[in-house]
Amino acid sequence: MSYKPDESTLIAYLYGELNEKETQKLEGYFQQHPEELTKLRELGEVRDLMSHAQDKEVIAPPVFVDDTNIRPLWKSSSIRFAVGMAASILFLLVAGKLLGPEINYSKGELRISFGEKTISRKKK
Amino acid sequence: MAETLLDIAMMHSDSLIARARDGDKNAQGKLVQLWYKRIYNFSYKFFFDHDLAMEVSQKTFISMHKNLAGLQEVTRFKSWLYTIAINYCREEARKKKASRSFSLHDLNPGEGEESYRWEESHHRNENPERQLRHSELSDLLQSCLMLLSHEQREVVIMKEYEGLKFREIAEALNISENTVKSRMYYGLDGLKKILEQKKITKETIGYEL
Repeated sequence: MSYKPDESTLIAYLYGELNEKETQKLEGYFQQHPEELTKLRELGEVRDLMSHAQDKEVIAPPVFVDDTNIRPLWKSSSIRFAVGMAASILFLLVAGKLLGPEINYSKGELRISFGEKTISRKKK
Repeated sequence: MAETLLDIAMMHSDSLIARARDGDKNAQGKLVQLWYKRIYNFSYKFFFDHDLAMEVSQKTFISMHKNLAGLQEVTRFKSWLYTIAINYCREEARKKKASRSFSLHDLNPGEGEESYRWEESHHRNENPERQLRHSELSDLLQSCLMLLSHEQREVVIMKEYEGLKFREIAEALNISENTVKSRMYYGLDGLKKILEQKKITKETIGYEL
């Protein structure tokens, strides 16, 4: 049976990441095809040459703040809810003060009324 | 390549990543300090352009800051970060292609006193002449890298210069490991031909240095 390694096997061998079984199989193949081993060694030399490309020096920014995450206090949902509730209560209090509220509780019934008091006549 | 303290810190930064993910601003700042140089150099090698590399680096870390809370596994931080970076690299490459604009820097990078290369060649503790030769050689090899396709280039940079495992590259690019290895093979084979054309060999590099 003829065995021919694919590119991924050859690269895994070049980087020493091939398992033992596959390595033995591949080395057997190289004995039969030394030109393939030469070709792979040439790729290893390319790696050596390219390793001379140096890193550039760069300084990371000292402060790194994402502006989009900074939200004014009044834009947070809980503050907006609390302010809304306070405004509603204030409105009711002012309206009540101006209109003259009357609150009655009798016979299990709560009555809130505004405006002038009306006297209901009892039926005779 | 000798490991620096920074490399060691990057390898053992799981607790830092976890704290940053939980909203610790100090930990997020440290993560930026640890990874900024890597992401900048990855982008620089992708574009061979300082301004674009800075642009991609900044966008990558803004995105990291916004989305870190959603990172499920701390161990996948590295491939996750490179996924963000490569997506911005591709986006910038598309914009560049669409605008087809170029600056004088593109025509002849590194010329003149105001150039970035001039600035970086002035390292305090090294012979300036030797440093300049290293820098020129780096640029020459970088220009070879630029002749590869985007797909091959990104894999070669991630493996050769960023030291990612094939599994991590596959995760970052959302492709199979075999595809990564195949692109790596053809990338190195392509570079071999380019280096031959430009007559760059071990001997000529020895002469340069």
